[in-house]
Amino acid sequence: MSFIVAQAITGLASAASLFLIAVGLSIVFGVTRVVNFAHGSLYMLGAYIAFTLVSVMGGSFAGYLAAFVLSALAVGAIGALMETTFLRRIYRAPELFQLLATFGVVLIIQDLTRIVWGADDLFAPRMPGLDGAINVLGHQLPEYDLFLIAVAFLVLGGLWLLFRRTRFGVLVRAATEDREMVSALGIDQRWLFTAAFVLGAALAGLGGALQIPRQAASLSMDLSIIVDAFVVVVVGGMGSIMGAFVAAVLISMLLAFGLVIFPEITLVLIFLVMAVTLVLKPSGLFGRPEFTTEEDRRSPDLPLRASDGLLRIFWWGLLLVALAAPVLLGEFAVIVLTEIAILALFAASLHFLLWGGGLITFGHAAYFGLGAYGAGLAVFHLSLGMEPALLLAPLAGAAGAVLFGWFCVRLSGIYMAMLTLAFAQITWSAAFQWIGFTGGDNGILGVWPSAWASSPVAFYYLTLAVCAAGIWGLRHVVFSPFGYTLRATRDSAVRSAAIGIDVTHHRWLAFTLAGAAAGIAGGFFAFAKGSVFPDVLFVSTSVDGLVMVLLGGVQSLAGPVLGAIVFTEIETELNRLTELWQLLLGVLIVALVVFLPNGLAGLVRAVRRRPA
Amino acid sequence: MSVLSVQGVAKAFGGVQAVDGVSFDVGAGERVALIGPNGAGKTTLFNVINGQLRPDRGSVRISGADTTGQAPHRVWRNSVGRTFQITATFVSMTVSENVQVALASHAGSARHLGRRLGQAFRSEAAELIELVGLTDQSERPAAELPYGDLKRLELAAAMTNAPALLLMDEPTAGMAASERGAMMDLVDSMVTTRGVAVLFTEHDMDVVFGHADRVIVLDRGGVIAAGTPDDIRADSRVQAVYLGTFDAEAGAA
Repeated sequence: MSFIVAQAITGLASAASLFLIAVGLSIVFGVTRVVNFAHGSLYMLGAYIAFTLVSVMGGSFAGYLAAFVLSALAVGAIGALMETTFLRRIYRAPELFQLLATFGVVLIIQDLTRIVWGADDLFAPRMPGLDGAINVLGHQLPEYDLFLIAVAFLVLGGLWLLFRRTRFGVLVRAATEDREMVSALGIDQRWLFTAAFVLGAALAGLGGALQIPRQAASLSMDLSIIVDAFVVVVVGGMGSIMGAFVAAVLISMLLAFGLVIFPEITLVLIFLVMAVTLVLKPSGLFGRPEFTTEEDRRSPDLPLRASDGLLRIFWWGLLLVALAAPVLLGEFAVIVLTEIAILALFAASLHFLLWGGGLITFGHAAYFGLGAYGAGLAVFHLSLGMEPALLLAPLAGAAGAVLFGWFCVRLSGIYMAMLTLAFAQITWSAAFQWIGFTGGDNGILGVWPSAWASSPVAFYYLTLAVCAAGIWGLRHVVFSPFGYTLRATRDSAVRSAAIGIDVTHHRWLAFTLAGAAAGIAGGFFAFAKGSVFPDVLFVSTSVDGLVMVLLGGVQSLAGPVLGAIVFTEIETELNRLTELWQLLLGVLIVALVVFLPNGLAGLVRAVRRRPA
Repeated sequence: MSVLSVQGVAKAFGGVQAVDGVSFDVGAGERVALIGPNGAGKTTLFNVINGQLRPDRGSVRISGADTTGQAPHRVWRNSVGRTFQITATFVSMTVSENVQVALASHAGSARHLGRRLGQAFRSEAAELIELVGLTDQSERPAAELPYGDLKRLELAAAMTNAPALLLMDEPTAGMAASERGAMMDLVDSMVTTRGVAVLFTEHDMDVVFGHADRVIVLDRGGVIAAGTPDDIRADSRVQAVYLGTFDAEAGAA
């Protein structure tokens, strides 16, 4: 019994931290309808700023309290800057672009933080006065945990008062429940949006600052917290403060007790809660269903056209260059070209879902990574050769897509993006933690091609042949009845159902096909690198894919290929020149979303269409 | 056998009884209008018939088959075509492709990966497009069509499975008064040339009285009158519901 109480209090302390970060995310989403990936970065900034403040002001009890308040204010100010300069430009962009652009901000803040504070973890002293432990029924519980719980309740109470008793609070609630109404009230929405964002940012800053007496400030704080916060917000219901609170407690308790009862599957359990919640009650425990009108597509795509002259020259020219490249360029170029061919197939499979089916996925790395691990594990555990291992790769990708897709295709928009991301992160953490099977962080080594394909040039031609065929195949599917039907489900789900299409099932099939194609790419990636690391499953791999698609142009079949070429080239060159690759990538992403939403292909199209 | 048979259908939302024990039949080749003031339960009843809602009680039979609570894409298999109050078409496709996709679905080849859709079902599509008078628009993107033409395109798509029953939710909503007659004449020609039965909801009484063989009047979830347009015109309860006059209400009571 006493053990349960102690474990529950530990769980509540984590719930407190999680609530502080999730509630801000939820408020911002409720008002602006933007899921802010950079919310975790604001939390991280809160921790670093508090660390500096404590160092400067001295780590007394009062010094700590002042540091908490000042960090929250400072991050609130950073939030104000972020909202007014950047975020307000993307309120009308599609959800995926918003998610991607705020991920760009994650990269920017991470590099800037590294420049300012360095790459090492920063340990603050414990908070004086709260550095002891209290004996609860024979268990020693840190005093600081109890302090955190108290702060969370204070914040909850404060928010409750703010939302019930002030005009600002009423407006925020009104905006969350009915956007149209707020614009009808004649208030300045820009002010409301900025204020809500500043509030959310300050809460994230406070949450981060409160962490430093118990854990080091580190550069991985941002992404490690944000996915958990997504889960809390989605389970609780986006925009709901009470939902964030209940879900934070639920998830933290699950973690606290799950770790004791079945430690191996705790993470899976959490994402399972999310998946089941979303499937049973798509708007979360406390959320309201969102009413979206189907026909408000921003700019309808043009009908598909078979390649015209210029495009055909592009495809054939590209193939010729790809075939001739090993002769013309050196060995290093061949390695880069192999990677380009692989990533082009990966990007094409993502593009197939995004554009071909309107299926917003933010976790496509899962299927790429499953392909890579499928091949790598086949070599490592089953001692299979390259050929059978490469055949297993698409099966692994497809199997993952069948399983995850079943849940994901039942959702749409931002909820689908979040769930795909969550599944990818499960797979990543499984690869990371299941050391006995996957080698964990040490990865799987010795994944080499068969003798006949072992030279870089031979492997390049093999990769090129398979990946080009894969890209051509996906392109062919887009024009087939299957592809048109998929496009139909994207354009209008009700019309599709009215002509006898089982929309959910069709989307599921498409998801599986794209998973298989990504799996092929992943398999080749494993053999190209000779190894597999958990990174292939990480959110950054998904983002790389999205950037390629976006860079090339979402509304064009040539887009993902063009994007993969340009992206890989830029990455390779910049990596050689600078340490600030992440920062530049972040800036590139933000600039793309804001200035070039139709990508390079869109640019070409615009130039071509201009009257001579 | 009736093409559509609705028996004792009831559906409540929370505490509100939107539809309360409605029964009626639609015979082959018959045009039946479902009318009633706002909130009478027309849309709910329509959505129960087309599969978007599962009724709390009662049954829906289409050409003899029980389709109660079946998903819309399954209801479609019983030769049902549908059009929507706000047109739903595939905006990123041409007029012809819109119809071709529907024909592919009817032919059971929606999952085919082999050949391209481009040339498949072209002539069948052209035939339907001609039927609704859009031949010179057939290569235009649906996104560019004026609203009235979108309604015609919907009708063509709804005819692809050679339906025995057409469900049309407000077929003339959003159209100019001058276009409405032409649209309904087109529907009439489907009835005469293809033998399809039509169940439609409508607000425009000229359309109702000019193009329905029979009219069913709903109010507060129940059928208050059913009969020929002339019967309905003369019905005092209907007048009361529509005009809300004190005298008529007193007379009905």
